[in-house]
Amino acid sequence: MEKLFLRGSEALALGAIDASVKFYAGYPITPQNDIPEFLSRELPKVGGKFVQAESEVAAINMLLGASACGLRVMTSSSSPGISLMQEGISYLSGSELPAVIVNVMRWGPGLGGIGASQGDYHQATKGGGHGDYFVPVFAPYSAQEMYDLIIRAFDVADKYRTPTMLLVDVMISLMKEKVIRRFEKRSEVKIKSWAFGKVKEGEQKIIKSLYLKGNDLERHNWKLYEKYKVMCEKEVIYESYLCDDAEIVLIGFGMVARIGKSAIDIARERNVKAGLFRPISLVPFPEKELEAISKKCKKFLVVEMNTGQMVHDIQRVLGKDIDISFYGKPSSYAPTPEELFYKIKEQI
Amino acid sequence: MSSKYYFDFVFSGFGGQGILIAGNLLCYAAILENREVTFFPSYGVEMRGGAANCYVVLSDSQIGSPIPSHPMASIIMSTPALNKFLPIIKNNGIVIINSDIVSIKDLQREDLNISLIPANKLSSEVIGNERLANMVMLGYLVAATKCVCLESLVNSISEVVSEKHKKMIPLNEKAVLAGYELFQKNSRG
Amino acid sequence: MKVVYKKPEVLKNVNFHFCPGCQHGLVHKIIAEAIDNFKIKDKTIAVIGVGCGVFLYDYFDVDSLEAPHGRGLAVATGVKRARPERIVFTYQGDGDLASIGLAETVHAANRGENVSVFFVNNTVYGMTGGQMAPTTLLGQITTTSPYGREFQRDGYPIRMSEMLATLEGVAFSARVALCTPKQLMEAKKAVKKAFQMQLEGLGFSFVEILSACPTNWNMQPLEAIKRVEEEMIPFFPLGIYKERRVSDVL
Repeated sequence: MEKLFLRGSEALALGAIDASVKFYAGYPITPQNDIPEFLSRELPKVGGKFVQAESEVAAINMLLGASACGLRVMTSSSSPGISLMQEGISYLSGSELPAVIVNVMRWGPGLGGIGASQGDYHQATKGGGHGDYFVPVFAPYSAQEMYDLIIRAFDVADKYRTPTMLLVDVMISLMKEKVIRRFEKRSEVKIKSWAFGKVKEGEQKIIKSLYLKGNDLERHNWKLYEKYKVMCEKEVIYESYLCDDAEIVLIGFGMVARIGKSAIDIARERNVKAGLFRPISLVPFPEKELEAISKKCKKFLVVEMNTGQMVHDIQRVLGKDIDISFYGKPSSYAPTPEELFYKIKEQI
Repeated sequence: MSSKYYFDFVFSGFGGQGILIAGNLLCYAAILENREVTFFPSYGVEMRGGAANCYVVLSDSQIGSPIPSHPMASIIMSTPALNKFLPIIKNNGIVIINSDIVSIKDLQREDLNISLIPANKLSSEVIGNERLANMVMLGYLVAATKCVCLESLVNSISEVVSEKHKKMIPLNEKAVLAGYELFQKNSRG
Repeated sequence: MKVVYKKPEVLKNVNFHFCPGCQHGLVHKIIAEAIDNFKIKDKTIAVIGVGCGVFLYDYFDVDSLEAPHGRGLAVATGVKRARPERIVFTYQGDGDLASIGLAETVHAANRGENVSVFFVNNTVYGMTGGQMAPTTLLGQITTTSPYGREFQRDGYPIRMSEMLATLEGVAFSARVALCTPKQLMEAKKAVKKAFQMQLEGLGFSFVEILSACPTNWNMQPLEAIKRVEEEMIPFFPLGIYKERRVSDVL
């Protein structure tokens, strides 16, 4: 297995190649341009297609077309561009077409800034587009996870015939780390019998999201929901660090969890019994796992680089009897480990 | 996660001085020694005015934050960099300043271990121009901190020098050595 | 007995849902005949835009993909890039192609995507109930221009065939109508030409079909045909605006 030193964005793009992505469409936006730059160079070498679209709206719909043909497809963008893609994500979900969407988050609303932010948690996890659907969302916190989770995102997308999303902190995208290329020799993706092949095979295939007859749409929506229930059983991933004896557990995803780990180490050095819980799959959310921790630990500190989004999910899962405090940092700069340690200490 | 081996650095100066290359090189050297590494470059508003900086963390276990609040050691190659980072360097930390570029008035940190290196001059002496002042600085830093061994550092040069500039590899080696030896000379003297 | 006419093979044996006097059915049939002509039924993928043509897959026995409103040519781009060996056409109305999807249309054309586009221009939003379209004529009364379209307020009707003909990526651009036998023959030729261009890999082929919508124009079918001839054709002249030959790209 090859050991590399890569930026998070490069690790992600390389992971996509190893996952056999064969189609990318996107539109330039800071701070994720190194992903299309990498793929425009590397995709043609593996027989893939790269298209620079006229807009994010067009890009996501190009994915819809290429995905209908059975290819593994992806796009990447940053917050304002992801807003434009929401229409297409809703159609992909409705049409049950797999695709991977990468959001390297920047600071909003509006044009906002290009600094680090986790302001798109709600948009990503609660469905930014219209209708009744769920998009599995994964939040990497290292270059290695950028590589591993994009491969997982492709697999989950195919398994459930759904768009999936990687919600990425800009700092994870920029940071360089060691990456082990675990899946370089991965076998080709299975042929998708529902997709358009090289010619029409037997019955006409119709891929659509319009259901006007009788209760077809109701049945369709329940089918989408049933897929989500299966994901809740099978696709949850999380990390728990020193939670067993913790008197307080810090909860964060992505970059915050990374910094949080340092804060926990500082706490432990000073005999403060603190732990860290990190949802890696934001959809499906690790509800049971969090509940299990709350059987022992009664204090939680939720930290996000926004004014409070995931904290609502934590409150929903843990209920009113658990002491949940929130520290938000909707600023261009991530919190420091010392800052988080101080916040932990404040709570006990 | 508590580590026996742990170093964190900030390298700062202007774009074009090879700040990021120096950071990368140090990371490669540590990877050769099987360390965990993170490299975090400046971006966005931080880059206004042409500034370039990067944080490097080396450890024997998984690294938490890639951005140290108080770096243990630093390479400073511009006056704005000095003003920005001097106040945050860890108590008793190491600060290596390129005195050919940085104007030094009042350093105001009695605790720090500050070295003023005429890195441009040294670079000129060993390779005939000032372009590898960054490598001189890095050689000095590695000698001063012993975060990686000289051999690993030298062996990593080919990782950061592109195929196109292959003939630069020996020159880079010379510049790194010049910095390294300067530290040893200073500490003996 | 000699067969003088038969239903195109690619069409299923079902009745169209279109309103009396609507010309979508005729457009469907012309496209179906062209598909039969080139024997490309099993190769064809239809990308269908939102509008009255959205149920095309109920009538055509071809692999079909439904595009979001306006996005037909972005979707078709994805399909054709993924499956260059297949024949891809979009079927789009004026709201879809010339208003909400204008950027997708122009850029797919400009990239020279090797797909065929059938653009039904009836100067009105049909499926949503007769609102003003980008092609609505000046003075035309619609449900959202109850006093008639005024250029000071609503701008002018947009001429797509002429506009697209200016783009390098476009191989074929023509406007046809279906009011007279002669026009019908020209329309059939243009639709065939569009497929032929794609089969030869010449680039983007575009056929605009002026079409009657008696229901939303509040007219009898024959009156509506007369309106196409007397009001639409003078503003939207028929003809071939661009035709690339194989020798042009060699």
